[in-house]
Amino acid sequence: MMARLFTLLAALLLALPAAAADKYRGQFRQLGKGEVLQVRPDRAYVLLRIDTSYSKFNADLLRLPSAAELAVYDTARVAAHAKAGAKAGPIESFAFDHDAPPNLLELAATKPLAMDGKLAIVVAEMMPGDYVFYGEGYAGFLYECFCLGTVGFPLKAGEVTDLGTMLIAKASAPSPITELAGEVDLGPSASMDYMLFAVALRPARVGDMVPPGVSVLPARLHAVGPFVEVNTMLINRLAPIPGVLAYDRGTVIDVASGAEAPPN
Amino acid sequence: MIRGLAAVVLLWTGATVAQPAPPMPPGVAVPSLAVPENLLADARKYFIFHQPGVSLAQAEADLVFCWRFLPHGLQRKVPGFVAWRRADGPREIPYAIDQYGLTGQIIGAIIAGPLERSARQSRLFRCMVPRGYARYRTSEAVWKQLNEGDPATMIRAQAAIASGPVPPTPRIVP
Repeated sequence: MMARLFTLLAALLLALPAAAADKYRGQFRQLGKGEVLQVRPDRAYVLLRIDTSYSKFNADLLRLPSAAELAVYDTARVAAHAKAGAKAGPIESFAFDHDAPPNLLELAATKPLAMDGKLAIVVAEMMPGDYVFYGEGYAGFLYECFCLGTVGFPLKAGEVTDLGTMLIAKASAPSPITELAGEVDLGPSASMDYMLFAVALRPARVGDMVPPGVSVLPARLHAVGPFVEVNTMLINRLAPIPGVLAYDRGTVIDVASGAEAPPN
Repeated sequence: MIRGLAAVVLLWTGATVAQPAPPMPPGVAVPSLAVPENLLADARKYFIFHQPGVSLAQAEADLVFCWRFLPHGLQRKVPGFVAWRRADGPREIPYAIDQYGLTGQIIGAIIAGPLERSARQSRLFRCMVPRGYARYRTSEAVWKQLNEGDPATMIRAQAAIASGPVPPTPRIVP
């Protein structure tokens, strides 16, 4: 009996790392502390520095799903809604967890390749594609979406894209971070029961810390208009980025084209 | 109980004190905004929006836009799959604390209301303020009248206030 129990426990323990890795289904891998980057030609790479001065937040990135992925999703959602019966309500408001390779992924400040002072240097291996800087995460959950405006960028196979530096401060109080001007000092309403955070993405600059031996290309950022995400604690927007992202009375402006980035 | 009494006092006060009534579109009922100081609720959370010179149509368009962001579900777990540009419903938030049985359910019921209100207040605040709206203090009772019920009715009422005369209660800065 005891032998069986030990065998079972051993099997479970051995399965744990595999199960943990499996949640990404080969779509994502964040490099561990001190790991040397080996660039695969069929994968894309992203480098981000995350300011941990306040806390160790994550950067949540969304790879835009392909038409084929969405077709599978649509079919599965309709089937799940039908199976749920009358209690499911209208399909428009039906909450559905799709069992598919993930496309919402987090760059975790808690698992940096290295630290540069308070900056967590994060490098991850991802699938090539078009991405949206979706929100700010914490402990494996989406805390705050950038639903009111953000940026998108491509990740190309065989390249290491430098996304820059993610800067974070409490939205209710003043901040010396110039990139957050206009997004902070919003007063006590930004700290009700849940703390709102102002987030900026400072594009890569000469002199920014890059892991030794890694050759990077700056991210090609463009503005992304508002999108609806109901399964988040709070909503916010990414701070304006000169030459990339601006706001006019709440409307998202793609600075490069001068046109509105329309709602999604 | 105290909140209930406050609402009754407010209604009574509204019935006996002359009110600045904004000109309302036909069929839109707007509560009195002249809330006595002792009934003004937490300024962080309970406010109405106003913008000098904004048209009723623009205010309504802004509120319709912001209303899209009000549903609040359980935080999305990461990693996961998100169907970009597809509608998704809010996942139920388990406020009840299961291991404490009935007590846990009661605690859950007590905290759920204020926390859900807070999520809603934060969303409207973050969406409306960048669109040029200022906030003015109000009572919990007036806030509830403007935020609980049929969305189309609430949007029309809030738009009428936002585009009407400057509210008589103190402005919240910032």
